[in-house]
Amino acid sequence: MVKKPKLKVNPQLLRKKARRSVFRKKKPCRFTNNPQLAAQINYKNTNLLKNFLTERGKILPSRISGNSAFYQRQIAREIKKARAMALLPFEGQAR
Amino acid sequence: MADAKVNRYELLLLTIPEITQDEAEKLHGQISKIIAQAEGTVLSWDRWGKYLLAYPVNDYEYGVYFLMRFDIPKSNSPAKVVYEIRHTFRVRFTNVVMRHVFEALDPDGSLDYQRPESLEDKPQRDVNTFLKENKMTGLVDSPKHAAKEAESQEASEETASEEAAETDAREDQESTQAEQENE
Repeated sequence: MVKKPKLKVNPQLLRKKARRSVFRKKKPCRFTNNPQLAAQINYKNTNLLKNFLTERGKILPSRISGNSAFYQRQIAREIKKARAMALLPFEGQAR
Repeated sequence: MADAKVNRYELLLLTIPEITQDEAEKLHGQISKIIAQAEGTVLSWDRWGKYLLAYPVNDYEYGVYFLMRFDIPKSNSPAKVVYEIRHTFRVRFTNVVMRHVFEALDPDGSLDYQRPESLEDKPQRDVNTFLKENKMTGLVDSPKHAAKEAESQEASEETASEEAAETDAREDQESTQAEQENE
């Protein structure tokens, strides 16, 4: 029996490279360069935070919403605060 | 912020939907009494109104929110005051206050904030308004309504005829212009 030659390149890396090669335009963050809007990120302002929830009440990933990591962290924190006060739903409790 | 001599706090309360005015005043009085003992000042006490909660809390589908903001001087150990207020919710107002949250604010920042629209702010909608908005007449058969409908229909016909006349006039103008250009 012939032994199968081992792959020299890590297949994970190959897949990563393939993903990168597909050109996607980076989504703009709506809060960077807009300090007025960024100041409105608050657990009381549920009308803004609702934009970053799915229909089932999950937090949207920044990959989809386009938020920068800095503002994504803030938004996630404020959504969790609002959930504790029953202003926003927990996952699967949306109505 | 570090130079400020006071700590500013914000307190959001979620109370039961059938809270009476007396109970609300009692709640407000008790909290402001504790703040006054620490030589603090109450900046605001807002009643947001009745809300449909995102999920039932203590088997209540609805709730009333209150927002309070207050200053406490740093020399009077603000953390203890916050603890004391929290204690009153557990001991005195267990039947009234369902949830609460404290939030430290910037003493130099603005006090503006956005809040979701409560059920009391929204106009009450019933079947008749819905039918009128969507121009559905089949279910409403009262004579008054029928008369109104007839009026509105006449009005709409008139407007339609006027519009048609206007469009005709415009077309005429355009055609004449085109002819002039051709010449």
